[in-house]
Amino acid sequence: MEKTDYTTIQNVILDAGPIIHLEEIDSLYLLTDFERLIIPDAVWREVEYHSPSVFKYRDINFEKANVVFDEDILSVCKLFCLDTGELEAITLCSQYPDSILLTDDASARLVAKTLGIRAHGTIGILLRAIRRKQFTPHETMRKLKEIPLKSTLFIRRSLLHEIIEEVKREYGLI
Amino acid sequence: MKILQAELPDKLYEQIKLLIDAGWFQDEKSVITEALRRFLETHKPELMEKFIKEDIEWGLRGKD
Repeated sequence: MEKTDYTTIQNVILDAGPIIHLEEIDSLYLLTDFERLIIPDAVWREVEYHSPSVFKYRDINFEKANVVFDEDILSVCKLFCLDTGELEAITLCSQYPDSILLTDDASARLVAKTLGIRAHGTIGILLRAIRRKQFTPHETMRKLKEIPLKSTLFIRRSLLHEIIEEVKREYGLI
Repeated sequence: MKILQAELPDKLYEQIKLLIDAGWFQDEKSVITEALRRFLETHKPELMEKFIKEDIEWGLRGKD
């Protein structure tokens, strides 16, 4: 399908959450819209353990990356109780300028914000899919509704309802 | 006050002891309370909600 204007994001650094959650609702291929999908070693192992099928998709090119630790980032991450995967993902972001971090963990996003790193999550990817012409608004709404049924992503039901209403408003479906 | 009983891995407990022995904390209770407080500070539901709202904005109206 033809893509609209907009710049393509070059480097995406992935935490385990969005990979696992997108796979649970059969939407992992939405990630192919990004140039490079970089997964730190610890996250790779975590995904391999929880969702081994993720790495069987031949048309999604994940790159495994080793992380060179930075003492300052390490200290901030520990202060915010981040796990090894999140810590490696945030450290990698500092090694790839202009990258964005994909995570569904609130504290990882808080650290990212503190360090000036752009971060988004599964919900952002599902909504972005509409303007990138990967999904119709109806397809995205269907996937949003599947989250509590098929996915381990925790989201308050009323908030999910608000998101769906926002999609309807944005695309004149009310 | 609530009383909680929990099993901790030996290594974790050793680290708690180190902090107490070095004089940073008075006892195990103060280390655990401080650790829990910090954890809960960074895992607030409203924080998650705030980030999801940022995702809505980026997802629906972002430029990249």
